[in-house]
Amino acid sequence: MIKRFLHSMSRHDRILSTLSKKLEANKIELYNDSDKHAHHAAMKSLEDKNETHFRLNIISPKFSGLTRVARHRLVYSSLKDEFENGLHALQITSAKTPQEIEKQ
Amino acid sequence: MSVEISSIDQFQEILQKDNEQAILLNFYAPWAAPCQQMNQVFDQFAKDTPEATFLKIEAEKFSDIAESFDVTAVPLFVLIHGQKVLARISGANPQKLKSAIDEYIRPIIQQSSTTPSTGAPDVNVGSVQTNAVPSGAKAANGLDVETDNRLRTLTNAHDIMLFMKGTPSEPACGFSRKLVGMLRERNVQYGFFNILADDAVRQSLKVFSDWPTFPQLYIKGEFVGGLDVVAEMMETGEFQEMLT
Repeated sequence: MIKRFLHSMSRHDRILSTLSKKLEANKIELYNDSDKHAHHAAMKSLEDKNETHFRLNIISPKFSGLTRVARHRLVYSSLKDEFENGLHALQITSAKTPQEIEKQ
Repeated sequence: MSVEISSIDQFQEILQKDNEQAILLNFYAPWAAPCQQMNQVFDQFAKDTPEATFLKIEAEKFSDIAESFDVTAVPLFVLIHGQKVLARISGANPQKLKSAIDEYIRPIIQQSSTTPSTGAPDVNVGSVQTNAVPSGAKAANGLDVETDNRLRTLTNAHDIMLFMKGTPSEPACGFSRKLVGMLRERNVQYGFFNILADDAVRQSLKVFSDWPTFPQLYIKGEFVGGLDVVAEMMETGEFQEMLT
């Protein structure tokens, strides 16, 4: 029942929900860039053209001690289902821990 | 013997001259390890099959020829007979090439002469060894051992390997285009592989790298990251350090 409910949410909301749960994110900024890519050949046949490309800033304590690549991998693997169901790209412009943000 | 094409005229002459013989083209890049290995294989097959014409064409040098044969990734082997393309064999796979020679060239030879076929011997090319039938063995990441080995070779083809959508001169996606631009800005020498031209590599590399998207950058055989990671590393100077 819960899975069906989740799928009736938009991908945008699903990503927010998954990341805040799995990564205990303190802050998530999620932008939908799909309209910039809607003209791609690969996108033309997709039904859900408007939820294919996203951009993300995220702050999470789970990034502590992880290299950049490891942090991005953590985000990607928590969204594995989305990638298998039409999410084409997720740009990660910033993935920091709360401590790193405070130091800035 | 295999012939290295040195001019477009030479190529056209050979193509127009002999309609009887089968012609096998080898599109390669000299900086790519899989091509270096397959060139050895190719030369050996050429020696064993004197009744067919074996031509080596440096794809980047003769980009017009490469374009007319729709070359998007190297090595690519194109089998021609009577001005028609009979087969295209993509990738560094000696067995696949041998099978194509046996399937297409030998019948042509037998038609036009009475020379008995000698059979090409197996050629061991070290890390590009593949079996005709997959052994069923799996690597730790879940891929077949053969696929895993192939990707290992591919990711080591150049010190810096970019797996991208499209080619550096014609990127097919904005992220790949950006990464190509960043590498060009810093005068970085790199090898590339167009994953749009090879779906097997496209899907298996996602598993091999444990990364769901392209472009992907490898340095000295190690996965470094996608556009975001590389962009950040270039800003902090980490990228330049990795090059030394």
